[in-house]
Amino acid sequence: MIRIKYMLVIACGILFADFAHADPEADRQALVNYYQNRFPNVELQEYANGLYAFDENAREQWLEMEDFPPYEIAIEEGEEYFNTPFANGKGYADCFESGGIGIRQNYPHFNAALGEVVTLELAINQCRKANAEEALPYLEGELVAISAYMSFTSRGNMIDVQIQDDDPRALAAYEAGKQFYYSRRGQLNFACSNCHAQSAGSSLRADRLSATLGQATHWPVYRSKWGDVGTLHKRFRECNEQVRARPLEAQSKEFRNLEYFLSYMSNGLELNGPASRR
Amino acid sequence: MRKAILLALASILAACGGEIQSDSGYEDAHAAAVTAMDIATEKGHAWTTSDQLIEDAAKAAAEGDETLAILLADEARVHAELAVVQADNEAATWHDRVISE
Repeated sequence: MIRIKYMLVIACGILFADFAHADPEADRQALVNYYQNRFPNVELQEYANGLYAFDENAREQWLEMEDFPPYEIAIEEGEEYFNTPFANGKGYADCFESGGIGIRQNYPHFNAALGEVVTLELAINQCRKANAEEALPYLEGELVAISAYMSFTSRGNMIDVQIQDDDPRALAAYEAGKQFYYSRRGQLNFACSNCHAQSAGSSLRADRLSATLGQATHWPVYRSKWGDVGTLHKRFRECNEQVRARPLEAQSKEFRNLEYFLSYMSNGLELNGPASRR
Repeated sequence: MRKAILLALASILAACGGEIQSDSGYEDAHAAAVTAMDIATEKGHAWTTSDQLIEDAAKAAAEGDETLAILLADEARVHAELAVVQADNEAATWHDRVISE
């Protein structure tokens, strides 16, 4: 028995040896330095506003749109869904700490029992399944509205994603997300970083490209192009399609790892979702 | 017109290293494309272009245009093979792109 345990420890050591040198905080600080050198006039907290941190004209239009925010209906619907009891009498509030209010900053996190990254949207469906309810579709409708409501109650809270030092699987998940972000894919051969790190602030057709910092702060988003509120994973899928890569499923392990990496990069920024974007 | 364009494209792809199997039947071309696409999918790097091309190939085959069907299936395979090359290359080089200073 002791021999088996010993062999397992060695196997885990070999499996995660590649990640031993990974340092998420050094990665985040390097990214902060990179953007601050490139855009010395942009305050760090402004990155939570995406492209509006760079584009004064677009920012004016955006602020006007915020007078009558197009995501407001999603928040109202989300609150109603959130407070509607399940068939067993329990509700979403029973699944989350603080009754599910003001807790978005706790997601995504690495769940040691599952051995995977858990996002808020995944947790909403886990809650439903635990209460004998059917899982909701991830890309539109009720689940997105609930997520919008929960984000709204979390506005102003600081992102503080933790990567457990004592669990190499958490670091491996972070590294997998980082690899996804920096890997070229699709026929157009683009990595996320090509647009949002190298070319952040630059124009792409009629749009300006947002920066990596702040990309995880404001979801779900009402996107004019969609005419609807959608999640970060819907945007991931859209980005994949734009470079002609076959998009992965929303809430796939790969996308959850990517969200884990991106959210860590936004540590220290305030949550400001839901939001509106072009 | 479309055939002419595809033939030209097939020539270019062949010149770029993709092996065109226009002398085999559609079933073979389709099977080879699907195998390559499965490998690209396994590596998480499949391209939407392969998906569209293999769909168009099936449509052409159903309409009885085997020549076009083979060309499209071959092109789908070449795109999938390029996706695999991309996946392998990125697995080895993505670190070089990380902002680290």
